[in-house]
Amino acid sequence: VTVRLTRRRLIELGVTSGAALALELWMPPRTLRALASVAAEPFRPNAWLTIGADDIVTITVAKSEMGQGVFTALPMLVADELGAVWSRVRIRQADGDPFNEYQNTGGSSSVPDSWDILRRAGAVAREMLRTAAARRWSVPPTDCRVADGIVRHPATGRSARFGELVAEATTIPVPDAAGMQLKPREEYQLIGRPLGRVDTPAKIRGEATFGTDVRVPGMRFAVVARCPYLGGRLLRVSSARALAIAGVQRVVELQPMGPPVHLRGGVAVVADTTWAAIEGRKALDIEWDHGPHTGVTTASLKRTFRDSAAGVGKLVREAGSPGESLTGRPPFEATYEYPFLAHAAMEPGNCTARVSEGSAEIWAPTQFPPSAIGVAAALLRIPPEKVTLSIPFIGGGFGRRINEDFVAECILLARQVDHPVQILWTRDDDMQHDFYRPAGAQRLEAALDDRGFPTAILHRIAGPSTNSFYTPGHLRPEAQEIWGSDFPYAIPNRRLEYAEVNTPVPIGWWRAVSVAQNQFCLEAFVSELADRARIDAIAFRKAMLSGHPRLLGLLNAVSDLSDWRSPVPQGRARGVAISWGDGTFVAEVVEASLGEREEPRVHRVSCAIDCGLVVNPNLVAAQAEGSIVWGLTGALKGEITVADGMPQQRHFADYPIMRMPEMPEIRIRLMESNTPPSGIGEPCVVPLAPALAAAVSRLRGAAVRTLPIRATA
Amino acid sequence: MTRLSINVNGIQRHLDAAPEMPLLWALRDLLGLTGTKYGCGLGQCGACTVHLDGAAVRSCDTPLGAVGTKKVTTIEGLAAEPRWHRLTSAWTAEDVPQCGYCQPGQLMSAAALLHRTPNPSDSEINQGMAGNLCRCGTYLRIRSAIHRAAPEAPR
Repeated sequence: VTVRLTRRRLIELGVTSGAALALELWMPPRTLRALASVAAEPFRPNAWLTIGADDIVTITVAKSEMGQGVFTALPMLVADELGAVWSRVRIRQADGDPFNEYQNTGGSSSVPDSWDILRRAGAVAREMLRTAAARRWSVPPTDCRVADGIVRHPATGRSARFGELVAEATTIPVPDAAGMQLKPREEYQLIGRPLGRVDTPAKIRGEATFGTDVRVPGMRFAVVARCPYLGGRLLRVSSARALAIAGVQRVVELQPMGPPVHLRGGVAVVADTTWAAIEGRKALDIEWDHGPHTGVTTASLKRTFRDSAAGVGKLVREAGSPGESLTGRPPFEATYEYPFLAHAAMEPGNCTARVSEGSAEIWAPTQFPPSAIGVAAALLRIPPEKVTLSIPFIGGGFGRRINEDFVAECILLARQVDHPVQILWTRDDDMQHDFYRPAGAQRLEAALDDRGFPTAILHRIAGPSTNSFYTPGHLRPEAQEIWGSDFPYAIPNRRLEYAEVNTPVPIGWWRAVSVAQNQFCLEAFVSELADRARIDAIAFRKAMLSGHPRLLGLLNAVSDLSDWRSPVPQGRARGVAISWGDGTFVAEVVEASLGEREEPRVHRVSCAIDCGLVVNPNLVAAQAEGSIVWGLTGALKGEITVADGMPQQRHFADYPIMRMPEMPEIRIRLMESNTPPSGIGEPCVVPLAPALAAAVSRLRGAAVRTLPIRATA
Repeated sequence: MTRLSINVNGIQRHLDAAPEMPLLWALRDLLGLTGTKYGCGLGQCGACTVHLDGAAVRSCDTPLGAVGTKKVTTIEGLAAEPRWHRLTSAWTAEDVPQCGYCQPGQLMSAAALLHRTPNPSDSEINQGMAGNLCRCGTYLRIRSAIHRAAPEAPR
């Protein structure tokens, strides 16, 4: 079905899917329809923008705004190429399109996916306006200039505002987008400027509509009691006491769904307020089957991960002759471990839906509109075109809202209820029914030369397979677990293995996905090797990166930024780590000390970023700041444990998030680059854990190999 | 159900609701004031912060019946008050929000902090804002914005 097709396509295309998607995007079905229905005014040369006679340029954003800034960065691309005045730009959120995979928001892909097509969208409009003005003045179009929302003919001093040209522009044939001449960098008016976010005013006034804020006439509010046991199910429910609560209107059973949706099923309580629904849920008398996994504990899972990391894995990749190198002298080896992690976005799960005969309307904070529409259409057995999906502001995505479970669940309920209905996931629902970042263990072995540099590395990843979880029997279970594991260091002999260890714990996509786990292990290991060789950790890395000017530049930059060469204040230590991936490179230094119970305290994080040409330095800095808090929260605090057949954490007291008093100083440097922009939503998350581990290892005098890094006493 | 009357953003509002209903749900589901957010329902995250007679409280654990004659101010009311214009301007100047979900609560806590402590130090801001979580990590911008909004900050 569409659902699986879209996600699998994205996964297979990976995060550098821009070119392939661009071709599909240029003429998706709705775009064709839009072109066919161009009105006389306003001027709508393509699906991305309209210009009114009032000079207002309305730009469509077909990505989900979840805090990363797409409402600002993407329109900047259109508006700059168009020659628009920024204060005259308005933003429109595109409705979900079942066939438009470009709408999938994830993988730090929004700007790189859009860089080419959105500038072309602006250029097409600019050329039509230029042609319209040239015809009016009977001059060659090449003699006309377009800037600041005005077309000018400098030779005669004539000019016309965009709004004055829209009627004539509409009569101009739409030129081929692929043939557009794009502006050279020195002519950018908006790209590269630290413009403020367009959504800031609404978010400050409390006017921004999130999914939980959707209000539809006649709507009801619901919460769902979901089976807390992994693999468990509903045995029986008595709703009499719940229905006796004032405001409670209905109690509805919801069926479970298997992969790829993974819905555990449960009992919905529908009421006239959210509070009545919550009170009603408390009054349900429910008996759950405890499922087959009550004996599974975090300790048992960890043991399995460790044993598998020490065993034999499936060969994924090999270069040189690592086996030979590692069989000589006893290699240096280390095993690293990391826990399951929750997303814990501030806005918990929610969805609003109205199901009518043959159609449905959905309001969902989704990162993947096509799969949300796909699952709704499949459940209702209606064509995807009959599903209308509106995407409100998202109160934090972080990968959790790639899944369509919360949409499927709301459709299952809405089709049994005569009113529009909104399901709110309470905080404990959100924490307990997450698709967690996979836990696992990784073993690294290195053969070292006389100076202590590695000549061979064996890397074995042991943990659950995301592909197997969503597509049982998947032929490449390792595909999503090895991202970022192909390190840039000049180490001639290398071998990567994957040991699949599936568990009953639901897993999904968590900001930076497996790149974060894999580069934690690799970079913590490299720091251990440097310490062992008694070589400065930055110098050690640079010695193995002579072919990588971007990473060398970043290491030099972060060295300056972090005062790496100056003495560390008493009681503190510094650790460094880098991140590499599809286009974006990062180097970070963490400066930390230990508290009385040896708990790490982070004083400063220095972060040097090379994400190619920077579209908006304000947004890039914000993503870096947020990624640092995200990465530190995970490295210092995050852990979902399992006991009695269920995840144990329920709220922010047992799954703590960094708070303001714990904030370190943050220093950020953006590297100058002419490379096309690459993603910034995730890469800065990655180096925090290994850099912190390196610093704490020095302070404790013993290698830190397990996340989170907590107090020892 | 009880007939209740509370003053919200300077307007007297009448409600049919149980006195034990948390103020949060009365604001959101009965009065349509959705600027105040649900984050945890346990007073752990600060997303639901409102003012009662100018003091910050968690509306998720404040029963409607406990409001009495105290004046309730929500983000919608705060944003409209001229005396807090400096605070919202500072938030804009620092371009604080990312996803924005926690920001109404952050602003309500910041306003209450500035009301108590007009020129707070970093550590006073840390203490005053420690109850407000932000998963996007906007904390440093929030702190800068509060400094910028303080009366003695350079204009």
